[in-house]
Amino acid sequence: MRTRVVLAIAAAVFLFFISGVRPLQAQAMSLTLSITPQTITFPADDPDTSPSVAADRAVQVTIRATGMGTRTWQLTLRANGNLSDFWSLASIAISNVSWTATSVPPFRDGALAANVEQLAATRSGNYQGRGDLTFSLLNSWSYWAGSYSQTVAFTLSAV
Amino acid sequence: MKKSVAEVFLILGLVAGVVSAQTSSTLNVNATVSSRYKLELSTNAVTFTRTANPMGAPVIPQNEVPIQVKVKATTSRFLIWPQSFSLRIQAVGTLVDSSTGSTIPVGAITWTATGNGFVSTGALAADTDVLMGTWNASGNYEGTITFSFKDDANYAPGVYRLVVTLSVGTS
Repeated sequence: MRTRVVLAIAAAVFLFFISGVRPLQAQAMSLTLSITPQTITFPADDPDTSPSVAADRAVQVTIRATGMGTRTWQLTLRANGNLSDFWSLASIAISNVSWTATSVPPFRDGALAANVEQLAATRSGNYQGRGDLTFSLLNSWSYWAGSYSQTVAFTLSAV
Repeated sequence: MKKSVAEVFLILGLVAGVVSAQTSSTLNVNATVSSRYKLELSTNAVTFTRTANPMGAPVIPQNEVPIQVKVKATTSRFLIWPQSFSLRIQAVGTLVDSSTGSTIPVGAITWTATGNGFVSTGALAADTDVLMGTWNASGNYEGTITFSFKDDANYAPGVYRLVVTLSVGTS
């Protein structure tokens, strides 16, 4: 039985160090994130008349951070690559996609980057609120015609 | 046994703390780019004036500065095979002096062009599309076109008019 207690304490200490959170705070800390819709589309348009194409709808991001104390939370966006078209093998640099935000701060404007997290919101302490992100695609005559897609990971985390 | 349960709760509690410190959602981003072609010309009319003895069959350049041409396209491709597109010119009828009914064959109108993808020289052909340029990638291609009139002593004096149509599309 004593061995079990020792193992439990060792496991707790191990988790304490890998989590980087204090046990008392970790138990109370809660971060929840929701985005809607989960799919947006940039419609085709003339690059001359629409040099920047807005997505068909804004993304509503709802954040709830509790038990934060004085700690800081952040929302990052990470594109998992460039926009790519399966049939043409063509791609559009994801850096051509940017967003403007409401509820500034904690939300902020930014642009996507392939496989690099970009800060979309940050604040210290508890928070409950919503920001709308309106995404835009820089239009160009140099794009190949096609249907492009990519996924973007929204991650809310304590730092 | 009670201690074992406590151990489990202790570990689960810490794990829960780790999990709640980060959460993620995924957004699917789609973009549609349609095939689109556009042609822009700096002017839509050129004129020629007989200024020399036509016996020598001089070639008379247009009175105006060269026409600035912009060919813009987003074209498609399948894997590595692109859908090429071209600029073509077609004469509608022939050069006609409406007051006398005299005509001049459209072949008397020639052009020289500059710019990537443009056909450097050519001549009009009656009721036939003539190639002025071809490309195989999306982009914005700029060039100049200068028309000329090859005079001939057999052409009666007069004011002749001709309409030509330039068009951009898939080859």
